[in-house]
Amino acid sequence: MNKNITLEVKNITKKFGDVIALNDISLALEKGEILALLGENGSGKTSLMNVIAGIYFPDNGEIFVNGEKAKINSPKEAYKYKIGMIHQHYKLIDVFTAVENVVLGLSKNEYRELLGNPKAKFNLKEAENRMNEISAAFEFNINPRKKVYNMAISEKQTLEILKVLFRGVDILILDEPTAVLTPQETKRLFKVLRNMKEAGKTIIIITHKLNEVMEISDKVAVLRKGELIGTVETSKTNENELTEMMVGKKIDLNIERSEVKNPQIKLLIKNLTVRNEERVVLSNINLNVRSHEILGIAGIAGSGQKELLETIAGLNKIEDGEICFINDKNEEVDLKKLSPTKIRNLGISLSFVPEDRLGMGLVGDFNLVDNVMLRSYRNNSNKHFLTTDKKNPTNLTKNIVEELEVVTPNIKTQISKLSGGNVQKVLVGREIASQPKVLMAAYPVRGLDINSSYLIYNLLNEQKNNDAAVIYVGEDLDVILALCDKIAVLCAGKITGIVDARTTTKEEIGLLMTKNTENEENGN
Amino acid sequence: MEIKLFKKERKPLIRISRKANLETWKKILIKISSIIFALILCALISNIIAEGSFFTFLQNVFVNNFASTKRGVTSFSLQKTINLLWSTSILLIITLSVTPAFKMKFWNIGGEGQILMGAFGSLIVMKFMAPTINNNFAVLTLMLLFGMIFAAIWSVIPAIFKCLFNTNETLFTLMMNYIAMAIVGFFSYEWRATGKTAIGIVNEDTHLGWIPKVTMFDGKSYDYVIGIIIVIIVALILTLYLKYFKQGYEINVLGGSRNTARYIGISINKVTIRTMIIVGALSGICGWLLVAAGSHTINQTLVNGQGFTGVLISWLGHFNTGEIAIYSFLVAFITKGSENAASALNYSSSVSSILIGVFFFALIASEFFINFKVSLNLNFRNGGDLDGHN
Repeated sequence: MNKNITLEVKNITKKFGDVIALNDISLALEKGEILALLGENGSGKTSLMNVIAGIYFPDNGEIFVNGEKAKINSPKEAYKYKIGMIHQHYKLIDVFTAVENVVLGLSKNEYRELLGNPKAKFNLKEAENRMNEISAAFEFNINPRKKVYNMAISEKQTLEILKVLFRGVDILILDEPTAVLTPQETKRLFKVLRNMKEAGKTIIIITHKLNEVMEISDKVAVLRKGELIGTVETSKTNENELTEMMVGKKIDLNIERSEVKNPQIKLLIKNLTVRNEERVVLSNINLNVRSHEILGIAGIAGSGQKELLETIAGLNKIEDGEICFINDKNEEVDLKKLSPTKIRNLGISLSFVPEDRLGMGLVGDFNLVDNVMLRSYRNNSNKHFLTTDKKNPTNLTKNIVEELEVVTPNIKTQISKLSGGNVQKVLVGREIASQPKVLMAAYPVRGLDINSSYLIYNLLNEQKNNDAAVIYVGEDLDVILALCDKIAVLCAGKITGIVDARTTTKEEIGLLMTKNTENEENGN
Repeated sequence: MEIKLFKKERKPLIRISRKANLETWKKILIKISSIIFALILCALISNIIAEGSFFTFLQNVFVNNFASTKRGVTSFSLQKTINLLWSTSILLIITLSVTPAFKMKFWNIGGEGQILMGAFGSLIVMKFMAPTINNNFAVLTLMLLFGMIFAAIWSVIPAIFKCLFNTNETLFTLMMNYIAMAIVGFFSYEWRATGKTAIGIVNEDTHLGWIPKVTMFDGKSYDYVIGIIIVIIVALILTLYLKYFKQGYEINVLGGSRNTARYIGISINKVTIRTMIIVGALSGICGWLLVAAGSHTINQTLVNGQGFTGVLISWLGHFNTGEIAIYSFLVAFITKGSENAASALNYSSSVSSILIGVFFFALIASEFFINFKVSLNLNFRNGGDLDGHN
């Protein structure tokens, strides 16, 4: 056996009810190696890591750490084997300082064991010193006394990494660490990962971004539907081969972008300011949305993207400024005075896919027809004044299922029983069916497999070519750059720049995404 | 979810996992077996309390709910059957009146108070206006109207507070029950019959505001028949409303996802208040029935906790009228049956409460076995797992 192997899993199987999440997975990792775990949503990446980190207990199979069989029953036991995991959603306490979060859950004895010094002092001051030592070793820039609620997202991530390093971890698992980072922050993170690798740590990074896999990893393991498709050395593969392993067939990764023809202004947003219960969420927004064009909105999560779209749809109260819709007769319609239903009747449609996919726009307990009916149930005809009309929605549902290739037993199936991709097809299909003049799509490909994502991009392009004004809010900058014609960048509720998607770069957008906060930091 | 009883062993002794969708016939089978199990358990408890009463108990439940015994001869009794159906109807309408609120996830546990206020509204008409109107149909109509308005006021207050100040509706509706009881308690003493401490039967001589008896095929007149028919009609209308009407659809959307409702442009406050008015109106009908067809009087315990039983039945029946009707019947059946047994076997009426509790317990447990699979791992000490691997 290779002496350098730090972590080995053998024949891991995990079932949830009848669903096989992991089927007979075996992997081995060497010291100082970065493994990228690649796979589409639901392929079992996170489940596998949860098994290694002690969150799930496998139904079958074994884990070996440094050649010894390990029984990992809890995350705390995982630390004993020097395994630590950094989750996609950070597990930090907002009102605590960095150092308080780091020592949380650690007892005096555990700390002494960690240092191998039975007389070591354990208090916040000592912990701070040790934190600073680690920071210095790995070139972190973090203030131990800063409260978490004052931290930017990348700082929180650094703190999470520090937290596991503080516990003397040798094997680090990172679940989609770059999903919330700007390109610049991603570069910084990768530098940290390389430093840790130099120091002999073993790193597993879960991702579905191919370019990052190519950039950072030594080895790639590809999962598909709970099966390990293969483990390859990064230097001996390429993006196309990896995609094929992930999806199971060849896929064309290009988005067709047509030229903008004869654009007309559809929405005029002037000096828009919106405030929620706590703070100003949009401040002084000026934006034109034009037909036959896809406008991309880029920004770090929570910069005001959702609020902007909701305000256009009439769901938020406007504090200042105005939003005008220009109809086919070239008249300006002030949206401020209209109810959400009236705004929708003008042809302004919003589809928002939240993280749980169902929460906004669909009802999980309803069947497909009832969900499609959500948009049209108010229509009054002579026959249906008080009652709902199911005939038209039924036909529409049949069309959506057929045209978008929705996989479902039948149209009376409860929508929450469908896979995420199919749920989203129903949602987007319904919105497009109303032939909107302005189509707002927020995160329409969230959690979708590659195939379905491209189907959605094509649908948006089709709408653009049908003269609709499309607003696209997405997480993946590469996609925004390839799909959109114009990109507006939001940062902390302000527009920091509107750029031409054909000429800009990822770096430029990345800078605009953090422009505001960096100014503030300099001001401090 | 895994429950680990033994820490050292690698495999758990008992494993509970969620079942994939069960076929309908299996669900029905589990339910029926749980009901049979509950009845046997009730009979066994009865047997402990009154020795040797195992079969007497079952006889009281199955036979004496429909039959009476005179001079040793047991024969079918229409009166008893109607009484049973009447109990079922009251439970049914109480349950239906709380159901629309639950469907939109508005946790209204104030059915008790709303019904009592409905009954109070009806009683005011019956006691103070009936003599001047002096037409039974007009009195009954006015009683119904007053009952519905009183109950609707009682149910809409928590809804308004919820919409304006986001108060917790569960606590609010619960407290409204006690206020309603206090009001009724106060006035039933204030308006007491001469020489008594309570209102007593109202209009005993004129029968004004009494739902009339109906002559059945055996030539005798029976109470409650019109009441039962009214409940059936209301149940049908409510079912159609919830299933086919736009307003019913909106209630379902609200219950499914408030965010979606907001995105679709449904006014959450409007639907909440409108639905709670409907809930109140239904409770009002129920209160009206209790006064006009049932007791012809009012007191604090008129509803007798059935407002809460309705909450339980509504959940057990998954807010579905058909299932709710079946459960209402079952609960009335076991309640009446154990009351029969209690009087026949001479044990305290609180024993029948125990038996009803056991019955409910079995029904709720059946829900657990429908949704979850329990696997025992008898090989756990050797570290074997559930599929027989070692």
